[in-house]
Amino acid sequence: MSCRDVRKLLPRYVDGDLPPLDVARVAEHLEGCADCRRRLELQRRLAGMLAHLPEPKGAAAGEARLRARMAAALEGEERRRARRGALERWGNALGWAAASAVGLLLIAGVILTGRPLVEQRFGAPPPPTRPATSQPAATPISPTVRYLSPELGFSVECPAAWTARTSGPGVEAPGWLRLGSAGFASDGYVQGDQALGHYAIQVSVLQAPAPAAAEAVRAWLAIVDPGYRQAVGQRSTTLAGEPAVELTNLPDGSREVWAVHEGRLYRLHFLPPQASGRDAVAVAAYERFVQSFAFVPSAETAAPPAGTSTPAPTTPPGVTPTAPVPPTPGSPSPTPVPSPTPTAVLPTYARPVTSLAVTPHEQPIVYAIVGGRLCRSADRGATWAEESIAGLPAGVSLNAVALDFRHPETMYLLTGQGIYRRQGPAAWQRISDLQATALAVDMVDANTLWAGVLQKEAGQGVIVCSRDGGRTWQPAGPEVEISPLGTWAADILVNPNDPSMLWAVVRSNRRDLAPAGVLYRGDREGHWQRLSLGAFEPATGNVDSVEVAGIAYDPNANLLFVGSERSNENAGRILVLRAPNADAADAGSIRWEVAKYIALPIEPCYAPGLVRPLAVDARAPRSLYAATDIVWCGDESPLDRYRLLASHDDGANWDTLQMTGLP
Amino acid sequence: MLTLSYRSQAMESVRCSPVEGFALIFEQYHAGIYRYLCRLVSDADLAEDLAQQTFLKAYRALAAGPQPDNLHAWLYTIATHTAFSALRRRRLISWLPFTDEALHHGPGPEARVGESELVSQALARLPKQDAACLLLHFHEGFSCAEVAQALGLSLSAAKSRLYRAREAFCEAYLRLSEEVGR
Repeated sequence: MSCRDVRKLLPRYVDGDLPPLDVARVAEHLEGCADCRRRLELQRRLAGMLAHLPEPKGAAAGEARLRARMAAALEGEERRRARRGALERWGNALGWAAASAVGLLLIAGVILTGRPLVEQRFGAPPPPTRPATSQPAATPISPTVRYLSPELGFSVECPAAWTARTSGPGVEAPGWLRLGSAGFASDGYVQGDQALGHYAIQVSVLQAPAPAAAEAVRAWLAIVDPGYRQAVGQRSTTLAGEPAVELTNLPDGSREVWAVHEGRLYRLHFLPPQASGRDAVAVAAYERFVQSFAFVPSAETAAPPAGTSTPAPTTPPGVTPTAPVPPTPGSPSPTPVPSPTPTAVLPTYARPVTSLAVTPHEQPIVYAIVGGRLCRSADRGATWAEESIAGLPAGVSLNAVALDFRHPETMYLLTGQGIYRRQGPAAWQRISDLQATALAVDMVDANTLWAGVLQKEAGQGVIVCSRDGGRTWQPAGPEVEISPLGTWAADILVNPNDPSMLWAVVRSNRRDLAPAGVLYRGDREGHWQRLSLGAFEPATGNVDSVEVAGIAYDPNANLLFVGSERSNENAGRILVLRAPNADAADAGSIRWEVAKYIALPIEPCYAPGLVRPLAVDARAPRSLYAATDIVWCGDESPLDRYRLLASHDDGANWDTLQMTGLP
Repeated sequence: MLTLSYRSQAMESVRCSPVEGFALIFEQYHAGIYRYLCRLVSDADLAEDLAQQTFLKAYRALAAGPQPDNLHAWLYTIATHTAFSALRRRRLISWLPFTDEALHHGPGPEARVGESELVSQALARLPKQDAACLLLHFHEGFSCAEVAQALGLSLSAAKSRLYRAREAFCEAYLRLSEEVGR
């Protein structure tokens, strides 16, 4: 018997769990093998060693923090329950008497002591670790400071009050919310995270193979709930594919990537390897809400306009002041680049399809926003070409495309600088500075527009309506103000069969407080309500709970499709649901069935994934288009991450469209 | 026994009033669950998050559904699964908080450490399923059947896993001993 064989049997030998023959053979081996005898001794002591483990470092302090966090978390839980009509559920589960008792106890606890019961039980919640800067009020921006990136030919315009440059990661800049920072080695995956107030942020950077090559850097931010800090990518803000600029001529050798996404400006500050002391790179991420922000060709901005100045940036204490960029003595002077065509720094393989619209023509044209570009297909998505955006400012980020179905020559583009409209072959014209995340045109009155927006302030709501073709906007009703701020409507649909009926997808950075879902407006009275997903409701602990990622409607078949994003509750799959009676007058009677399960990897990593129905082409052969964004965690080509799919059987089977011809 | 009666009391309270009863459960178990998670994931911050998630899940489940027969094993099962889920997601991802220390290697095994520290370090080197087996069985006093329940294994698979984990632990411990020159 070899040492290897004996070592495998030693635990059973110690437990007396071996057949007599094996016992004899092991004993015989042990007599002549000191090393195995040493292992035998260790096996005999093992139970005692493991029974008396040392106290984990900092356990007492951690325990106290846990107690405080639980108090806060349970308060949130109670609020959530109250908001979602928890009393009925508790009534069902526990009986009305018990539920009432709980309510009375809670109320009595608050009244008698002035403190919530959970606080009495678990201790006071910790003071907020971060002031309310996580939802900074949007401030009008007047561009006065310009940072040029001669390499790319773009400048970044931002207000004078911003200190856009600092001398290293970790240095706070006024007005910016610091999301997190990470240090990483020069090979493979690297990340870091920090929990900050009610956000936790993960900054992930995949770099390979050359750390210095900008095109090899893919970065994304994941904003996740604090209670689910490890749920990587529950809501990932993918900067890859967004219009971005890289500033490479910073005085200390660092570089920054700036990108706009859904009304926020993200700034990634990369510290070079030598500055971090070893073969490693550090990155810090910041964000702020922006009302307007532009990437402007440097040729147009070489000289600041009259009346503006370039003040010295505010330098945080303890930081060696650095000159704004430019001018930097000794650095190469900005070279105007002949072509003002926007150039995305982030790699071109990252091309999520974020929006899609199909014209009602006999030979339908499919328009899509692919990797931030407007693209067009005349053959149902097989081949694509980039569509003209003449009239739009260079470098503007494109969020979505929408159509007026009754006048399909009228198209809308939702951008980081407002809503643009085009009629026929004319150039795009800006009709509103509203930064919309979704848009639908009324089927009766083309001057009535519904837009989804990021809710930045109380009273605004996530859906706004214009009756004058987009010039002025009003909240679509009191019901669309959804707590907390930072919620937005990601899709809006009008039912062509009954134009008074609308659906909207609502998403939030705070899933614990406002799980993604579908809003429903069933009549002209304008009352919106949240549509129940029945057994697929989010945040129920059900493995098939659906965190809604997008919707599409087939008016001929009367099928409403809903796609989901992987949540903490889902295991290895996400879903496409369909409702065959979506236009039921009683929203409560709408029933949901699974059209498709899409398997997601659990190994080698538990990564983000979503399926987002985009649009339906209702002509035969009926086509339901959907985009997927699934991180496979393996060695596959990054092209596998984003796909455009089409189904011709109501979501049961899907084909991947190759999308040839894309730039 | 005092512990059993206390658990029973907590469960009765949960049935009558989830908030009241849950406070008793939290009092009884939070220290143990938190320390178990600290040892399992070798990261106090992460353990704090996981412990919070564990108790939130337990709270929701207790309020909504049938009560578990074995609260003790049930809570550790939730904790174990919560930890595994988190670790799965981080499998390709090694977190490096951006601090000065993080940019340098942590203390190496060359630092002289006591036996108990060696045991902790050896546990940290094991596959997490193995570490969970050992911690639940030898430290938390779980029976093989309870370990099987916590890890979602059959009884025989749990026994085999436990034997393998013991061998793996010995291997890791001896290697560490050699590295630090003990």
